Amino acid sequence: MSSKDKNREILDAIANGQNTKVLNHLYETSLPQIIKFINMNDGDEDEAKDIFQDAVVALFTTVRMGKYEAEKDVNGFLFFVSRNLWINRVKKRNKQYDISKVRLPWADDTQSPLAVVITEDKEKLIEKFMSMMGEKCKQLLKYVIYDNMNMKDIAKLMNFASESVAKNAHYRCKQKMMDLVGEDETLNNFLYNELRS
Amino acid sequence: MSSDHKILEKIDLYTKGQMNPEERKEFETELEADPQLYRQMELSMVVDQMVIAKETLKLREQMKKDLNKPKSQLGGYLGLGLLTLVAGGALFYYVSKPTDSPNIAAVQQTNIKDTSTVKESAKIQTEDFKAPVNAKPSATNHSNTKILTENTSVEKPAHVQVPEQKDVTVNNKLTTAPVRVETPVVKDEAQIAPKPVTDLCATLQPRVEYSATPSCKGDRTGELRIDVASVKGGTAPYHFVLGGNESSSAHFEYLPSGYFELWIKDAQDCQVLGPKVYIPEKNCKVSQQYIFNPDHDHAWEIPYDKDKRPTRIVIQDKSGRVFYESMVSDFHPSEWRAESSTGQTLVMGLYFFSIEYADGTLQEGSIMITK
Repeated sequence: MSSKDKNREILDAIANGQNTKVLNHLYETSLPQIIKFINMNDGDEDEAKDIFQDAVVALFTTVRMGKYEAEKDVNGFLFFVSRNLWINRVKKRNKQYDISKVRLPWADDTQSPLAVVITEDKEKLIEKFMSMMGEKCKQLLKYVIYDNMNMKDIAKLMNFASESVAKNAHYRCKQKMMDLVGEDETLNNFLYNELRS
Repeated sequence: MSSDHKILEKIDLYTKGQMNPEERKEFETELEADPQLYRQMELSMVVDQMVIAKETLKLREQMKKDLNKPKSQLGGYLGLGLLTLVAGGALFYYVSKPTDSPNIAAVQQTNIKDTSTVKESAKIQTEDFKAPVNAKPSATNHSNTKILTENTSVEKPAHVQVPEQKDVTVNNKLTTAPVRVETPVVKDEAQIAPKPVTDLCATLQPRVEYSATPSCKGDRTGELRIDVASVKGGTAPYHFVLGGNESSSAHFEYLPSGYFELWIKDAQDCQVLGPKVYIPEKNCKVSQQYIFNPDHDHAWEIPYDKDKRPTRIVIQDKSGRVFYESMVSDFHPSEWRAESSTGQTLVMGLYFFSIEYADGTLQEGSIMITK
């Protein structure tokens, strides 16, 4: 299988929720490079695994949001995101750190991809918003937005009387969440700036 | 469905790209004309993104469990896969060896199908562990080589076995069962079966010998000389990359002190990360001595290094008292007239100057003021 086909296969697997398959592939192909890079730049294996996890979350989020450029190599994407995450982490730790000292084998900045990175601050905000929603709403939104399930299956799964009842329930939940985001100016501005591209 | 829900439905269709061009154009006209509608669309997108992010964050839990598994488990799976590859290589080697025995030849012939099946599965195994195209082979080669060494004693024997001669005479029939070979016991890397032809880069070794010349403190006078003959594997000639600079002569100059990564490249464009190179530091006093007579000489021309960017000059006496100090911009001031910063003419004697450069280096010397 060519690397292009393999890349496509991985992206399809992400979109189809085949997480374990994707993760196992990335552990073998991406993780060693990232560990090596972090080790070369004053980090240890645990930190490298942390960074790798953040990068993988960014990959999945970007693909799921439909913002991933399909021709970009997945391993390259993960490496670049990891590199930038590591630089940010080191800078936070040591404001005097000279970034030009970061050793970057074959770093080709022209290939730097667009990535949706979920920082710790964003994660807290997402958690805060989601906790304001009821469990049924959260589940319904997940089935529609993340799993892309059709309303017929959702209605069966969640015991709605019909497809249209499920649809209405979905839009009620979504509107509620939109109102929460819209009303909170601080969160609103942060998320507008951070989550949108 | 309420009108609000109809709007949300339209927004969903638009943001997911599920409208036809006409519908899309119409909706975009509405968006331009209605700021409230536009805001609703933005809020809808933010909510979509939050829901997705919430789910993808759960992957962290799964990854934490996977990555904190005892190494032997993961290593065991990898080792098993690689052993199968080695076994496949060994079978290929063994089967293609010429032999006089007609019976064994017959068996070999009849089992060609099975052999090729084994080879195919070995090939697939190779692809599973192959480095991605964008990554240079060396990174994976390095780790693959390491894994081969570490996991040689693992495990289940490979599935491929050539039947002994006595079995052949008794069972001289076609068989579709998988052929088995005994896995050779691998003691060290040198005994590993020949690597697949497609994996030339795996032979390039990450070891090399070198000698380092220390660098003067605050300067870049360090040197690195690599012993090219110590490079093993791969295909000569070799090139080396140190700190982003490439050299085919295996000699690097003008290095500051510190640690550097050294990459070894061969003629096939294979690359491997070599040892971390250390350039030590030494104290070097650059002593430039000048004599300046203000009565005869117009001024003392400051001896800037024209290849660097000077930022400051300080002139002091032997007790360290600063008489003259100035920031330097574009090599100005270019000269000094033996005056202090307050305009006083200095008395005869020995003074010391130091010039600071933007790259952090320091140039020092002395000026003898005579009359």
